[in-house]
Amino acid sequence: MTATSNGNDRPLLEVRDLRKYFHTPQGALHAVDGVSFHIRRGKTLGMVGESGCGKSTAGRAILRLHEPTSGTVFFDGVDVTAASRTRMHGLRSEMQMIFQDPYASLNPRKTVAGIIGEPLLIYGRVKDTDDYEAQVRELMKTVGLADRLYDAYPHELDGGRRQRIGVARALALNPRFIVCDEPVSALDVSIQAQILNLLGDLQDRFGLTYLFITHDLSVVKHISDDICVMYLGQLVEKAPAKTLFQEQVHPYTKALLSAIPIPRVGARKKRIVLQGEISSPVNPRPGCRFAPRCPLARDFCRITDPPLTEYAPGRLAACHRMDEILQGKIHIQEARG
Amino acid sequence: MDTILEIRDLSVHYYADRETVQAVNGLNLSLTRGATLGLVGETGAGKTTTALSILKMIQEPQGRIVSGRILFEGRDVLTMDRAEIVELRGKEVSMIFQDPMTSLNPLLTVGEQIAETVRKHDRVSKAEAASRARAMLETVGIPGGRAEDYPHQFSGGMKQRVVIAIALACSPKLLLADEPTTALDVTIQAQVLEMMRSLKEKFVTSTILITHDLGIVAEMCDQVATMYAGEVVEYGTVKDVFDTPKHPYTLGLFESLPSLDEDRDRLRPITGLMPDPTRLPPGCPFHPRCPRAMEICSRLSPEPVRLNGHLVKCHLYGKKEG
Amino acid sequence: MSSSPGSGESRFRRSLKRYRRNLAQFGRRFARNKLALASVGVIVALSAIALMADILYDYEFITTVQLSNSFKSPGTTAAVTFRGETFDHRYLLGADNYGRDILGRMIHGGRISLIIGFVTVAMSLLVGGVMGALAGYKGGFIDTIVMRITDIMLSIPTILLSIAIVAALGNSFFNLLVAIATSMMPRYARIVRASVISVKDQEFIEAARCIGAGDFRIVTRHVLINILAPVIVQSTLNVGSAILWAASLSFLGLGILPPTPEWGNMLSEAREFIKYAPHTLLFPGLAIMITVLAYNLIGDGLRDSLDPKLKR
Repeated sequence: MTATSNGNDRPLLEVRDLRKYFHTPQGALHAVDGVSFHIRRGKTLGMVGESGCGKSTAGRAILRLHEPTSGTVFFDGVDVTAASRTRMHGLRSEMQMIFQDPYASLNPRKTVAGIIGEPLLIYGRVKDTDDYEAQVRELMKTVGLADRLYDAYPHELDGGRRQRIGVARALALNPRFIVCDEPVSALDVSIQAQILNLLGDLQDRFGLTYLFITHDLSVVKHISDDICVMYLGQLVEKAPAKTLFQEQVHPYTKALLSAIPIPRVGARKKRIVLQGEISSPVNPRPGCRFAPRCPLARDFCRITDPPLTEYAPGRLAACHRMDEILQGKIHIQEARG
Repeated sequence: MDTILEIRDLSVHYYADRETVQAVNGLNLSLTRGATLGLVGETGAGKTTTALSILKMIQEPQGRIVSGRILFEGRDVLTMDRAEIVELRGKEVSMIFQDPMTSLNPLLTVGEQIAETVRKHDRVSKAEAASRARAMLETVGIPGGRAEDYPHQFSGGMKQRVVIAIALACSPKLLLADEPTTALDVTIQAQVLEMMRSLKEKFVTSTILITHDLGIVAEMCDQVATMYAGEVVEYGTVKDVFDTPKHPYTLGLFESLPSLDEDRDRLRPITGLMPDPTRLPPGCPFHPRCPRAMEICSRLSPEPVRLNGHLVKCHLYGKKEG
Repeated sequence: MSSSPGSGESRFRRSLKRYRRNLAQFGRRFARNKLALASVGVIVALSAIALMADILYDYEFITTVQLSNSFKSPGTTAAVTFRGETFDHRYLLGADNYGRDILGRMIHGGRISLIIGFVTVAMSLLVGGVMGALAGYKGGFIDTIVMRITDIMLSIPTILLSIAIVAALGNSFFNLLVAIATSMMPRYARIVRASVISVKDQEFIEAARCIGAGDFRIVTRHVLINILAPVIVQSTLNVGSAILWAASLSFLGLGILPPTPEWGNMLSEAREFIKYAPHTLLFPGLAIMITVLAYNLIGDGLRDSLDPKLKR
């Protein structure tokens, strides 16, 4: 498929006020609570946040693996959330996902070829058995899996190779957009680097657009063009990757970045150690979700949600005290000099 | 400075299906009293097996320590009898495991679990143990009143604090921390690391910190040992090893990391995979993946070479003879 | 989809080759399990003997009472009167309380017992499995309905349930099978449901949905093949209990009634004489035990050879 009218300026994916609530005995769990963003064609949006911030749920809601509670998702101008069953089946082939766990995400009873070839069979993209085998072998080559593994079972392979199977399966239908849900978190650093390089190469080769979900800030910086930071189901900051690492506005982003251990002696920097832990997403109280842990929180922070505001081109943040922070009037006390 | 722990020529094998997994192969390591040693390496490098060996906790008959000596304050742990080992565990050497979710008993309150450790090693009354448990909780930053709570009432970071409280309850001389913050989020990890650092100053505990995160090593450790296929391939002070890594594997690890302060288009990963521990390659186990491998590397296992302050096990340095 | 004749032919050859290879691989793995292989032999032999029952022993002969030969020990030869003739008959495994040949009765009884064991398990597995899979996979309302039905069935004592079914449908062999299968069905529903629930939340199911797989494909291609182990184990265990269950029912006067021989009712008839003539109990008991054991071993072998992780 090719881009439709006035194609290339329009973002490939646009998410508007996406919400996903789960019912629990204690009340509604606001996993994703009003998230809006867009991803430019052929670019990577990194989505970072700690466990329980709703980043994985957001990725799944976009693909309608979890049915969103409300909000809209436009894929190349088509409203995904309103798509019928048949329309959705068609859209699925363009929007794929790579999963976190290279063990749980592959059916243990299927061979490598069976896993990679399944989407081809479902979408009838094969002419005959020869064509099937040729396509599967080509996909294996694309992701760097040795030919002899065609009939192997996943359990015979290590994490890195298994993750390559997951990548090949996602590529099988020639998608334009891939949600990568922590694809390297379960891997060792040397293998992690191999997979990150592979994802980068595939993006260049096929013009793929990624939503890259991770908790690892150095990984997200490496792979992303833009980065958005989530906290308790909401976006707190979004900016181009390079700018975000130079300057952060939201106190949570600042704390998050300062918490990363740097593998260099003497690199210990001023660190903001946040007090407390992420609060419960069940029936959240109104006001800024981060206020209970925020060193800068004031009473008014606990009354209304701060809106996500664009303070410079392409740079957005959601903080009631954003203006004061930007003007340099207030700073966060750092733990160590 | 005296040495609290010395491991000499340790080899540990596991046996499965007529195959022998060579988990640790002739490992040498020593730890200065009061210091923190970082043990880094990838999955399957033998880090956890090494730590378990120090407590003589290798499960027989699947696993066996086939050779070596582990000298803790001059006494060989491996020749101790059962009573001595039980006395050693928890009292003098204690261990923190990676997963705080599974290392606590869900049916006992956290206070009881700390008190249990205290009473096992120190003869004190129940009330005394309970009050020490509360004090321990406060030391790790949990209000003493929460001693009556059960593990499921704590979050992941808090559970790991409880685990640390249990480990430190008897003021051990040596703490083995196996990936203590891997399961935690980075802001919580920052809290726990901050706390461990201050506890270390307070208790003067020698620590072996097992991690795959080089950043944590840079922040927490004095010395570092890089492990590969059951051997220590590079060993020295963190400053020496991080500023001038010598072993191609250590170098490769640094190259693989996406960096926060510089922009790289592509990462330079170590090619290939960890060797199959049932069929280790002859010579240097790293040679099939090594960008600087020479002919000798596939024949002869390198001897450790002392190189301005650190030890490197590589043929690139030292005498090149057959 | 059209394809050239050439590639069509080669497709056929290739898929046949692949199919043969998979089958051969499965066969090789199964064959490596000597016990399982031997057990298949045992079941085949028992079935063959049961099939030839009429050739080996006259049905009328083994149901004719020979009171003078009651409790004859195995191997003894005695005079019998049958169809007006008197001749010597060797009781290979002895005679029962009515002087009937135990071996002959076992061979004829095997026809019924083996069918009961196999057919009831197959029936209950099919119905219970479908119910359990639906309940586990769909959840919600369907789950509630199916589980309440099985709860109700489990709350009625199984013996009453079977009696009710046979009483309602009439006393026939087929209805006996239905009664036994019905009483076992809730177990399968529960096992399959629990296994399906444990598998359906795994990431590979989500991955399947992501590549456009529909519910039917997900259940048949991804869920069911991953829950075979507990189902196979349960099924093979149930073969034995089905045979014994049939015996209990015939004891109550339902299903297979004496003098028709069947392993279960031979066993229950012989109970009274366990001290006096243990062989009357021993041989039918052994037959049931061997059958159950063989099915269990086959089940283990099947489970292992279907699991790619145990390939070696």
